[in-house]
Amino acid sequence: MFYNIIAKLDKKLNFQMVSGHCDIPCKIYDPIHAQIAALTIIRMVDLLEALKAKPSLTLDEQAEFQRLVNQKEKHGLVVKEEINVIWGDYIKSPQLEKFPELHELVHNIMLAGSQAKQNIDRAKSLHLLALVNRFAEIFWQTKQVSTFTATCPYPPAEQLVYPNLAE
Amino acid sequence: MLGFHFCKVSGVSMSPRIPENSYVFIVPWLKIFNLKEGSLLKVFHPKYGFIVKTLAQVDRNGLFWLKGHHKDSIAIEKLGPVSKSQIQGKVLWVFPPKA
Repeated sequence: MFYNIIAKLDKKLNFQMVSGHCDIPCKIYDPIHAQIAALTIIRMVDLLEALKAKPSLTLDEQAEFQRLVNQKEKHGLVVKEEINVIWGDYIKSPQLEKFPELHELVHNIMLAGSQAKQNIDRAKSLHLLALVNRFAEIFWQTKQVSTFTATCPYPPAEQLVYPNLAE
Repeated sequence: MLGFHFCKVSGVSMSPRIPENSYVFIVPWLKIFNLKEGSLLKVFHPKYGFIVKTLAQVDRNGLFWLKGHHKDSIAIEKLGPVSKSQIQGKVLWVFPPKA
């Protein structure tokens, strides 16, 4: 009864909203951000390798080099943060019991993320993507969603694990 | 002006204690009294705006640490401490929506 009275008052007086405030939009978890960030690192490495092949760099190319390195660093952190949030907030005992490799996998992603940041090395970046793809595969399995692997339709055209949501 | 006001709560961060879309009855001047751990407070947070949280702890510097109740609630350390001037009032009653 009180609620209805207050709700009617709210319609007239428009009470201020206060937020409970969640860490992220509640229950919205998706490893795609981490996967795209891992792809971005590979793309940045490819572009950096192209610059590396040149005998000398113009001023514009030096600026481009800096931008590419910055983006590679930034997306390395995105991979780590996105995986950390899913691991810390979504993964619980039932998922850990079913997939005991998760702790080690996440730790390896953290290490591989740092390696990909520290080096301009395609093999290291691909290794990071492979680990993140495995994480995505497990994530979707915990939601009873099957996955498939396909080549992403844009550079660097690498293999990505996608959820089969139409099933 | 009246010494109290109502606010509507968005988000599930404070559930089950304050379910989403509840109305809360807030008395601003009650903050002058000693606030105990577990009190529900309306706070103006520099990053998150007007929020409602539970007082988790008052530290030795007199700063207030806040927490939510839901598993997805933002972590205490992410919210950081707030000063008394940022507390907008104490929640006296909660009016949850009908189940």
